Amino acid sequence: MTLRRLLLATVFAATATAASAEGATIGFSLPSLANSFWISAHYGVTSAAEGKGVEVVVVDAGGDGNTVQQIAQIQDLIQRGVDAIVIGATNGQAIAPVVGQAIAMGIPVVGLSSPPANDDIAAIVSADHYDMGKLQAQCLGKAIGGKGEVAMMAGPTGQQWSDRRADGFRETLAADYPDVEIVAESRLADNRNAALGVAEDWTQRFPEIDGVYSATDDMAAGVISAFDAAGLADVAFSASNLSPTAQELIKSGKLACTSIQKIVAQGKAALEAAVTAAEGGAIDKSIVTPALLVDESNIDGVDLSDVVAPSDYRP
Amino acid sequence: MTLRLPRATVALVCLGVVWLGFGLLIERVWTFGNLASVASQLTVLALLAAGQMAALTVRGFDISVGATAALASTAAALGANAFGPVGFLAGPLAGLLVGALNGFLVARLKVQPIIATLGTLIGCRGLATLISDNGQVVVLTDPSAVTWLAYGRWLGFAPSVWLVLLVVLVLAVAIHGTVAGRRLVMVGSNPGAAALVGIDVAAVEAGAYRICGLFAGLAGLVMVTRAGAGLPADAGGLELQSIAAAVIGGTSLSGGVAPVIGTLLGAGFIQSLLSGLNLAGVSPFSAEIAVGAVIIAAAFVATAPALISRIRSGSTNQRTVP
Repeated sequence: MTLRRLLLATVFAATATAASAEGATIGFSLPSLANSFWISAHYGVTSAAEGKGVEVVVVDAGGDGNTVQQIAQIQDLIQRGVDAIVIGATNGQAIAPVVGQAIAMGIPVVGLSSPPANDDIAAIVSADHYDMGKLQAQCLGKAIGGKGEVAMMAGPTGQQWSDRRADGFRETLAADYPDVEIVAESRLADNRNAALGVAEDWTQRFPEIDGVYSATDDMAAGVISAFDAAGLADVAFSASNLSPTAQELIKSGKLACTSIQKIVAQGKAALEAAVTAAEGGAIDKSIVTPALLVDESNIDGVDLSDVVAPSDYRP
Repeated sequence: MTLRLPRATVALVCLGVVWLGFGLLIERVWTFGNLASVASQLTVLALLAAGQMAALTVRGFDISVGATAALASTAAALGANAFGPVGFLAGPLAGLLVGALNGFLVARLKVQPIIATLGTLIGCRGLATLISDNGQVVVLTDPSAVTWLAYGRWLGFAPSVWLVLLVVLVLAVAIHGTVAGRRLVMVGSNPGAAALVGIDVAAVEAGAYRICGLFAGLAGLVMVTRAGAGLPADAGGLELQSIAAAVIGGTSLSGGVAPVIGTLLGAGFIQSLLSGLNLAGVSPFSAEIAVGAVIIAAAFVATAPALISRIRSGSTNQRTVP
């Protein structure tokens, strides 16, 4: 009986502290701050929060494979009593059970770019990934003169962004440039170093390659290093996103083009949607930011404030 | 005997300090909901640390536990999707097989534990990637059939918390209350003497690795209940957390001690620390540095009594057996 009394006392203490909370607090759970995408998203979320006077509690799972870690962190955000959670999932389906817990407790959840697979989340903010792949196909097809061999560093399987980008690239290439053949595709690499390793193998196996598609700019940077090291010139590279590294690669002419999404704008939109949802307001269930193509000709004119975090930004 | 008390107390004090400290600094820490939440987060690490302790007890260690858990979770999810509930047994079975392989390599072929288990770590990752379609998460056909174990409530806590506690207590009884358990500790504290009294040292060592593998397999099963899916690429880094938890709990890296409850408290300390930093909203990068520093400090305090007694006794060879 004494144990039960103790438990009851703790429960009362819990409700008492819950009632004393004030001001909106938004949780932000992301897969990896080692990734330039999430650094820019982090910048978008936190800069929008500063403007609104909202507190953001950020938790980083430390890697795309760390679902167990992310589940625990979302449990912590629930206990923290946040008013809404913005989530970029390590894996949308595997975190669905814990996200279901948050939603069941009345905490609205906004998916950012890599959303949880729950049907009842408040909103999903993402880029038009299909168009990002399509823009790469148009640019790379032109850059290699409409015929030849290309390889795809297509990024992880089972993630909406990489799958949609690869679909957009493949389908557009088949329609617009039927003489271009895809000779290799890797779904294993998801970062610069892994892409470097895979691309080194490609330089040996497919020395005739004319162009390489990369799902992200980080991966493209690895691919370009491998082809440079192998001494293979006359290869065109395309990518997606525009981190400071990609900006350098475009300016130096090594990267033909990059199809970009407004990552910072997505972060801002996700934070705004989360705050509105926390206040009980109505929000669009799907918020899509358009894709743009950046190459040497227009890089100096692009307004980067909506696209990437400043190069000196540290989360 | 004088050393026995400090072993578990270091972890207990660390645990107390974390809860006291975070509770004073931020609100919502001292709530029953948070206690239950941290307990449910703890389930995976507690099993890995308990298994790790068995390997450490016989002077070995096992860095493949994270990869083994990931492989086991994948096997369990594939098994359940193919054969129904009985298929979940594929998880613990996979863990046991990996443990048996580690035991064979270390105890029979005398491969250094770090090399043997590094090999199985890489092998397990490869195998998990292979059987899961390039490392894709294996989603259960009916996740809600198991996720209630992680998110439901039995007497205030998730059912998985009670089940993990039961399994760990069984291990404690097995180690401290059976002949086989005492042999484990004896082999770890002095393999030469154990061999002299007729114990098959290699068999006992191999047994310790099987326990470690089995517990990693059970951790994989718990991962499935938390995610509703098998996670082939997950649990990286948990092998090192499991070693830290065991050491803070009083396990000696030179073997011969098997503090099951201390290890459980050590795991509780690490999980509470991670959770507290999340609740506090500390920047993720600073949090990692803090965790590393605190783990080193706690492990130092945990090993200090043995060190001091060794210095006092004036002999570096003398082993401290509780």
